[in-house]
Amino acid sequence: MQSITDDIFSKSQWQELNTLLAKLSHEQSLWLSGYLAASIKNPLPESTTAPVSKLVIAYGTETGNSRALAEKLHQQLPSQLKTSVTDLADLKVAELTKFSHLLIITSTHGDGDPPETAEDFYNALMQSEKPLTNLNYSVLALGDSTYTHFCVTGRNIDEQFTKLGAQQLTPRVECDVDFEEPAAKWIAEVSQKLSTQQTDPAASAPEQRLSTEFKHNHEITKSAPLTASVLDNIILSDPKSAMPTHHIELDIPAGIFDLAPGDSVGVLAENPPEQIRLVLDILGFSGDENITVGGEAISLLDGLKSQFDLNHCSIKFLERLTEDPAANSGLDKSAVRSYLKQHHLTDILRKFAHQTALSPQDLVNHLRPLQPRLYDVANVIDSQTTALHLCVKRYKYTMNGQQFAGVASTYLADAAVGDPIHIYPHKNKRFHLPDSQTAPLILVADGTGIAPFRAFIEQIAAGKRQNPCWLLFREARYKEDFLYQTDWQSHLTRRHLNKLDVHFYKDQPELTLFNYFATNPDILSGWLNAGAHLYLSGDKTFLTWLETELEHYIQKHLLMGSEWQSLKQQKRLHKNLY
Amino acid sequence: MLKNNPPIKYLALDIDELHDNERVKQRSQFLRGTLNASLETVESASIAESDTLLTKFHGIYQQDDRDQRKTRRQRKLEPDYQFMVRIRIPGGVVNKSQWQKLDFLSRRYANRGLRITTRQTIQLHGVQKWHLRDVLQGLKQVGLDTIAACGDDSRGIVCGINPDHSAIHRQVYQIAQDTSDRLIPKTHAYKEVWYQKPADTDSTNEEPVYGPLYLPRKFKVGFVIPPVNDIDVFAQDVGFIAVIKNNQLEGFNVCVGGGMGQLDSRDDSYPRLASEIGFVPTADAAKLAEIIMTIQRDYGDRIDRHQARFKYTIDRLGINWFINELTARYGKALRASRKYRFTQNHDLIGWHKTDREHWQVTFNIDNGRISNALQDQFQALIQDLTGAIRLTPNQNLQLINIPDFAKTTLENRIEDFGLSALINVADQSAYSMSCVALPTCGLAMAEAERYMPDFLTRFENLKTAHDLSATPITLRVTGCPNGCARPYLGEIALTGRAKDLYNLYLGGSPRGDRLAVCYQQNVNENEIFKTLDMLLSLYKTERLKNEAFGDYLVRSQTLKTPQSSQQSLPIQEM
Repeated sequence: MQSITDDIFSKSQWQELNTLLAKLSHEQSLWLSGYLAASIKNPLPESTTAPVSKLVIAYGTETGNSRALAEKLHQQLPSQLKTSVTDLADLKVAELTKFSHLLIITSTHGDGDPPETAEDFYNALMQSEKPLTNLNYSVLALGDSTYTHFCVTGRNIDEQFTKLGAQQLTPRVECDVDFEEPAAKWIAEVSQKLSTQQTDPAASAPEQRLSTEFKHNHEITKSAPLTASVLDNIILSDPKSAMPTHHIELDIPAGIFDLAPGDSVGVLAENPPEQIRLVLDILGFSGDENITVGGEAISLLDGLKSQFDLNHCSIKFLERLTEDPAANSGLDKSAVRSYLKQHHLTDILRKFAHQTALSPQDLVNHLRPLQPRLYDVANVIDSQTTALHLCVKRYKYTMNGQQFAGVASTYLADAAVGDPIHIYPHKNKRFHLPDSQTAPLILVADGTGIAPFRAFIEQIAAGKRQNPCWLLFREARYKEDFLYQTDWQSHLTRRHLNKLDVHFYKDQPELTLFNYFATNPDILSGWLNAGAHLYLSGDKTFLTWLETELEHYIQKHLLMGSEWQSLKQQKRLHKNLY
Repeated sequence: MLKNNPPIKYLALDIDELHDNERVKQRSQFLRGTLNASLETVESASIAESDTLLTKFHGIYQQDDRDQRKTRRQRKLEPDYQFMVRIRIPGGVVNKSQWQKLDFLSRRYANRGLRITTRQTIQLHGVQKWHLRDVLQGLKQVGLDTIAACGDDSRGIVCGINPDHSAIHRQVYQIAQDTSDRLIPKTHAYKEVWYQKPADTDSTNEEPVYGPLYLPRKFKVGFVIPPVNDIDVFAQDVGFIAVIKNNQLEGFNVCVGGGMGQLDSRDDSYPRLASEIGFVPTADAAKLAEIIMTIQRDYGDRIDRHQARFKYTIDRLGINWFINELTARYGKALRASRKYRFTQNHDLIGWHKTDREHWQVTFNIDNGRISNALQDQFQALIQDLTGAIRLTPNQNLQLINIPDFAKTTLENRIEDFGLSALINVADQSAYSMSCVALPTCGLAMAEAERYMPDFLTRFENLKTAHDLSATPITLRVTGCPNGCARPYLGEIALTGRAKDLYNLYLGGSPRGDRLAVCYQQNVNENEIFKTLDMLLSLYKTERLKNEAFGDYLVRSQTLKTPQSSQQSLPIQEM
């Protein structure tokens, strides 16, 4: 007793207090105790460590033991701590600065390697030099002492965190194959420590804080885009394919975009350097020449990089180059258009540029402006979201026997982590989720057309809607091209997605996606009768064909004569075709 | 051991006290589970987790390409799920049309050719879920199936015998077939799931012997005729060693409780040589195998799955208890074991004449893998075959039943198709085996089959350096301690511990009758070769005439023989 009071009161204070308290009646003492308790507005936390604002439990596992322990720990922590549990495979080192507390449970695989799924996180952490001074952490390391490098993954993570300035919440515990007892002890220690922590009041009221930030949305435009850096660029499909599909994540400030599922972003791309070089070489320019664009003096190189279309030649330009297109090319006006469709700008420059004197300013005056490209957002952007997902197919096309790369898709597909990308929001009002929170949704996607549906179903998974969902997806091969397969699996398990049909045309060339409607007539008619909305997203040619087939089928086979009309009239048919 | 307490009858315990797998079996309605639904699921190329246990009983293992796991995960794809389909070929003999069907199915639906296993069968790797029924229905057309090729049941019975060798060989082979028929599961589920036959409504108890929980773990039975111990009879749960007197098959010596599998992380885990318990007359062999299996069914550990193998049941309850129980169930005591002698556990590579004046020719197949060009060469060779094909327990391929007049033609064809090198083997590869391991086996911790060619090259160079290239040494490499290539009987064996790290076992015999000893733990290739270099140099100078490497290591006391191998047979005189 004496030792505790010594820390709080001076000796004389303590004596005075005791003298006073001795004079009080029982009733007075009781009143005083309540008064004192109520008058202290900001009680000090028992511990001096930082309050818990974002607590994450992360596990790295080969056999599932670490995951099971992570779940056990999660259950034992006080529920007001709002803890989330994640696989180390899904954790990025860049995110760590956003956490206040991180509890890591990881095994060591084989002789000193991290679990396979945790390799990326582990390697990134070991190379990271970014300070983590606001992070509180603890590590539970699982291992097998018959190996030389026992528990080394957990140990290295622990040491690296310390090196980066993070605070150890409780000491690391290392467990052998009989891990249950030491693991339970670690869980108890960590829970005990955390249950005495305060939660950060700011963390529980994020909506309020962010509402003021929404005003920025309208300020981000084509001419004043947001610069978002690339967080991740993953090839989803077979990397050996000529036109692989990429999943790209862009770092955005939370709350800055007002984008609903179904909306897109405009991407301001740049022409590939080799394309610019080719144009400069044909015309004998160095690129250092000065030009004026919109009243601003810039170098020709900078102008060609981001402002002008180096693929398509305008009629105006062809006329300027040839003085008289019809005479020189021997074609009439409509034939000129088709000529331009078949000939790349560089072809035309090669053929005609030497006939006329062309200054750098002449060149840019006649070039078409480089148009931004729209890409559908593939995730839900709410006030908390700090990453914007795109699904981009690297596009290539052939013109007059030569292969060319699509400007924007190449630009995005080639983007490395950290590269800046200029984007602005773009609304697709006719491709939003229905007002009804319960109307069934029939979602038909071809290839990258799946992107907006990923956002749709994420929105349903967020718990704000109850629309039943039937997703029909078409791609080339099951094994390689099942875009976002693991996402759909988890949505199906949680019943946020009710039915999934897939058609892979290279595996089953004898079928089409339409077969899955024809083999489920009861579901199709039942859902339509229940007011289903039909969404078509992706390749224009294929989906237009499918739409015709479907219309015919619904009228002739399901005998729902007026259904297609009402689908259109009631705006229950939504198309996003390209 | 508390021998005074009555032994636990696990089957009498409440199902909730038993291992999770037991409940999966119980709920499966005799191996049906939710397999039909699993095969239809479109969002995944895998089947439901509980069904993955059940397909094993149907000879089918769900695997994935582990080389692809990480990148596929990043690509938001599930693992590259695929299935290993193991055919049931008791005794390992197939006819020409069966071989040709296997060849066809492997080319159409599998991805790495045909893999001959240590249990004399063929495995297909990389079969997609959508094609499983096609494969199994294709096999059915030639009278083959995959029943009990894996799972907690009596696995494919091995029989180290060319049935064409003599009348007695034919007889032993036939007994192996009968035993297989008697021991395999009888559930109608196989036909319903794979052949899509209507449900059999009559049967109330589809498994009169097994019951709904089947066995606690896998159960392996094998037959062998001395002097060749190619099946490694002492690694079997039940081994039958043929006893021949006056050119008559009298019966079999019976040995019980062998098993390779162990876990490096558990002290109560070990490989065990089968113990000989007596002699059974020919007519009773199949029946006796079934009785032994029912003892394991009733007393095998169904709580701790690792302790569920028959070898642990015997050690837990004692061999004397076991013999008493067997006597009670059999109705009489076994007679005393007869004398016999094993001289080798490897195959006789090349041409050999049988007692019936027919020929057999054995091809040395590296790691049992017949793929790529080799598959085409055998496809061509087998087109005109008059005999049959036998798969050996050393993962080799043997053509049998070749009449004298057909020999020259076959010899020429072997030459023409470029296969002569495989029958003229004096080299080390004929004495070497590995399991499949990475990338498809879920248990593997290190490479085995894919590593063997490199290891072998270096090992052959080392032998040459010590002037030992003509001396065979049994070499076995596995990707984990589970023991699929029977490593604990090798003269030299590597069992995988982690990428590029192995435990080094030494001192098995070339007869498969002595356990190897763990000599070094967690060693890499350079450390292994440093050790082998040192030991081979001692062996070269100190060996007795014709003394095998493993025998030398034990005689010279280079190895301390551990307790578990003291139970083994005495080292035989060479």
